[in-house]
Amino acid sequence: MPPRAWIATALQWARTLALTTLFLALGRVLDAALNATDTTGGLILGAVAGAVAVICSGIAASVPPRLRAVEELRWRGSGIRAALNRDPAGTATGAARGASRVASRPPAPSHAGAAHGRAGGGRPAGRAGGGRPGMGEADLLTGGVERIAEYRAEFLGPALAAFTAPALVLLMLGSFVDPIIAVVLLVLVLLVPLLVRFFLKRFRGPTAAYRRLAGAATAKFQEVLRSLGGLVLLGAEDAGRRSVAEAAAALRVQAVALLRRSQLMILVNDALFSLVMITSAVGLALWRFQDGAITAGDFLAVVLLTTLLYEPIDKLGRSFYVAMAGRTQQGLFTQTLSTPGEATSRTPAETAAESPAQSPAQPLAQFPARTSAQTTELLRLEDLGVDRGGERVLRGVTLSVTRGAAIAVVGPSGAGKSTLAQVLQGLIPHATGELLLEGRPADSTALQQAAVTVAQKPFIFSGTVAENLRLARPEATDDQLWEVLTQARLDAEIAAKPRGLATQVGEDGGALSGGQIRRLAIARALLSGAKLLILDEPTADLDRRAERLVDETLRGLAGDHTLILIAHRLATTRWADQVLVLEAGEPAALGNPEELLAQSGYYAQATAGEGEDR
Amino acid sequence: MILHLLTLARGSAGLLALSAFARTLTLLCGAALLAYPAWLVGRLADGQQVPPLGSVIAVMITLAAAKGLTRYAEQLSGHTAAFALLEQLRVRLYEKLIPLAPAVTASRGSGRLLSAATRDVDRVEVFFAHTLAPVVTAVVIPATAVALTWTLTGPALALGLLLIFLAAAATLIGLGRRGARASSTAAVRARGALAQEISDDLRGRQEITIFGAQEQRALRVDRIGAQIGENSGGASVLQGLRAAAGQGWQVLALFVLLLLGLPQAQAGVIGYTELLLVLALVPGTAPALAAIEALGLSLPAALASAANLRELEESSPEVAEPKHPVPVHTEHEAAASVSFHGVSFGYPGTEREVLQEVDLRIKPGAVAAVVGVSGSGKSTLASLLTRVWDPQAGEVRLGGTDVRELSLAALRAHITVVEQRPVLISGSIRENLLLGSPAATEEQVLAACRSACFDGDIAAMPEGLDTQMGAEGARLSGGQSQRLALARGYLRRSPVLILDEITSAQDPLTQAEILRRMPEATSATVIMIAHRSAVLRHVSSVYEVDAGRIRAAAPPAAGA
Repeated sequence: MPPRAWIATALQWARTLALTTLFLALGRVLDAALNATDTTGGLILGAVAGAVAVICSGIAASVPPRLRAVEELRWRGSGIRAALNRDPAGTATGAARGASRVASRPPAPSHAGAAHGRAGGGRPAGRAGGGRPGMGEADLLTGGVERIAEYRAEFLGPALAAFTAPALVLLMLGSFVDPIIAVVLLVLVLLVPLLVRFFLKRFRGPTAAYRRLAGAATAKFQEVLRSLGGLVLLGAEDAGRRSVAEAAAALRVQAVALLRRSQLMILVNDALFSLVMITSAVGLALWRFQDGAITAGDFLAVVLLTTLLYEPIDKLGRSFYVAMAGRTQQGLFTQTLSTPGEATSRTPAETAAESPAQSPAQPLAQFPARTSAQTTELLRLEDLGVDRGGERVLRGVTLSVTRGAAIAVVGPSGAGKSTLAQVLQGLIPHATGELLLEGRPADSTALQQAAVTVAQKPFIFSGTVAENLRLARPEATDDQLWEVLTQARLDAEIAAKPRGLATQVGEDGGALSGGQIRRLAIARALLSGAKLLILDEPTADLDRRAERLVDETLRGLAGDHTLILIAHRLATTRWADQVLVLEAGEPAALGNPEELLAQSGYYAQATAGEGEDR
Repeated sequence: MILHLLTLARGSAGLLALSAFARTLTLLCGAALLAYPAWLVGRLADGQQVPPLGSVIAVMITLAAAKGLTRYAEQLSGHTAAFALLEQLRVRLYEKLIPLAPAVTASRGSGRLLSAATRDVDRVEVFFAHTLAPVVTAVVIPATAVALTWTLTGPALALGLLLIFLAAAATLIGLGRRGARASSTAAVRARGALAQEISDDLRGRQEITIFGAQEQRALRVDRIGAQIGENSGGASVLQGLRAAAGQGWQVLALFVLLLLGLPQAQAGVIGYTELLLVLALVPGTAPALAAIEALGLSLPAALASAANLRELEESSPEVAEPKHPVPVHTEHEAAASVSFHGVSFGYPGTEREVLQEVDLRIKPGAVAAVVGVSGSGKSTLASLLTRVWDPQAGEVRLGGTDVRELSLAALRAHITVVEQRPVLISGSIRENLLLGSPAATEEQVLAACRSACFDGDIAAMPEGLDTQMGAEGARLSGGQSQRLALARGYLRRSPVLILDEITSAQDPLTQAEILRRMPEATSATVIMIAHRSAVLRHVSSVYEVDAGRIRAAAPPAAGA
């Protein structure tokens, strides 16, 4: 339980004591009135106790919202770090492949070490349900974290207080009214936590199942709404309506079946408790009164005190869904992400103070001074083999990449082009052969620092142009940003926008054209100062003008930068220094474009298939 | 507006009423569980006879059992009503949106509009299913308590109790409203930004790893989270006040009743029986009154949501159905001509004219290509032909008839658009193939898949046509989705087939094969929209769209 929750618990205890005092005082007032003695003392005691109770409930209730915010921050901070520090190869690319795990990871930012260490075991991501990779994690990090914080702040403390409070009530009842009633009721009260444990266990399954159903029905509804336009054009609006109605009806039928069971248990719980507890209290008090052991005022106090004894069960009923949702989400969260340890439970201000020290990935000096064009070999692949999911997907690749060279990798889908790119990026390890970077065997850390991949669909983050560029180098100056934009031939278009570098790019770069997105990603890669640029299908899905612009950008970089081009469209590989043709995981040909066109392999055939398309 | 809100719940009114009634009984039993023993104490204090212990226990057991049963009935009927209501509201929204489609999903910001509509539906559901019954009982139960107090002890105590109930209700509703306002502005915006940021981070994970920017991005999440946390101060004060008010009115009521009633009891004006019974009504009604708070929070939200939904339902469609539709005329049996005459069009709410005085004539059965850079208005031509929108000037004709004279259903049955990013719904491959032509036979389906080069993909799938593909076709690659959509397009056998960038995600060999198989798959008029000239070797005429104007380009020489 979070430490602050103990404060709320203690205040609840104080409130219970004060209310018990109030009810006992009311009993005394009744007795005094019946005996025709002075009632003032009892009334004053009751008034003071009542005021204390009101104040304590107020303060106790004001703790959870703050605590909730703190917990939310703590869990989310730890979760997002675990998610971001996890192997991206498996989640970012084909979800179906069951990608192998990276043996060694990028150097984790030092102070995220605690969370990272825990997630570092390479736990498979919980994506069993299919769908878009990472969507479950997004839900966990938004709604899930809210549920967890709500549960930890607003259920744990108050529930503990409610379950322990009856002991206090009975202690006072025993001391001031009658020990026998108190002892009998205490035995009954002790049964409550056992009952509650039992029910919590029985409930978790149905609650989780219900949430899944409800989520699925909502997702279905939104999907059909989004597709409505297409459905109407296909004349399939009835299919859509059926689909919405069926999902909702299935939810209703199953949820009601679940509820019928779970509510029955609440009913039994509730009825048993009020039956046993309140009936026993009233029966005992009546019996003791008739024996002359207690007064009418004591009887009244016992009746009023049953409301305090009833609290735990009422609490359980009301915050039941909070508890169930929170516990389910917390379980999922610890499974897929991590549990925040003490090391991560610091305020953002503290972490912010540390960040500038660790962010640059490369030494600054490397940045503009990259013209030292040594003629040496940057990269050498010697009989390289790669396994994925226990299968060899790439074998016998031998290639020498000199500085400033442009190498194109082509081949039909599934030939292993993207796998090769990921190996060079250091995202997946090679199984056999050698991979030398500047003459030395390269591990994934060295490769991740040396290479930058511009993905086929580069991801553009919501925010400004400058924010997107600085992802690669947070401390870069505006001048440096303009320099890389110039190299990527995007400078004029950005300068023409009224807000320049501060232009908002929109969700998924929606405010930019496809060609601008590619060039922005290229500029971002250049800013990182990487020695090797890997471009995955840099011109796919672009119209001709945009394709020409990106092509020009890449040609402009050739010579100064070492480029690996993964290409579907062969037209864009004509200017490469060398072309490596992969087929079914093996190198089929290697040579310059003219040589390959002269042969009768894939390159010549596929080029003919494309037509004179320039 | 309240009337409109109520009409939304008409379908589940019976169950909702049942749930409210059961809740009232539950709360009455709960109050009786306190009032009955208090009455006993009063009888004893007044020196009167009380029932024997056995009868007392029997009454208590009966009350407890009744309370449990009615609560079960309340929960079950309430939840059943909630789910039924959700289903009705969703289907209703869907139906009201059909006339607005496709424009409603094609325009900018449609995603936001639709998720807002979903949220509004949820709010209306929450109001009826989870707020209405508690609020009703929050009024009924205290009112009953006041009436009972009046009957037993006369006006003084009853009026005192009434005033305290009113003050407590006003305070709780007021605090609830303030809470709602505080949470509905800055925090909601910050939550939206946070969700966006996290979704970006997860989808951009590869880039983040490549640049080692994990901590940089995590700190941004922390910062937005801290902004949300800043609001917790206000919420914390409000929640404290709420709890204090909830406890305070009970303490106050106990003392007011006692101070007013005790002298009367001592003077013998009323009995202790009546006084204690009335005192016990205070804790007895507390559970009911606590729910009144939700009224300040949930009713305004539900009213606003009902207003939003009504506005959406009542907005007029972009295109109107003709009063006297004429039947579609097609020149050939399976092919119709398509022509544009001086068509100008700009998207509603924008200045720019996407198309300017476009003239275009495509003969029945021809295979024509429309090429141009992205954003040049190529796809808009297809939207005008299917009447997603109507042009501001000029005329679009199908088979020589102005499309505005044809019924929308007939028009859309005669034209099939295969989109670059096709509509796929979760379900099996087969269900998606049959979306446009539910009556197609297995052979027709397989033949269409063969023509679309989709047969190999199906053969490779574990359960063939019955393979489930996940939400929005998540298990299919871009190329596979396009081939599925093409097969679905062939299946519809409409006289006009528009292929919008359907080969953009295909590798060169597959692309060539698709085009090679096309002539045997369809005899319809085919319009191919593309920015690549690779498709052009298979067409009879080419039109190039450039800056909103169109011109005929020479078809490329065969084999070039």
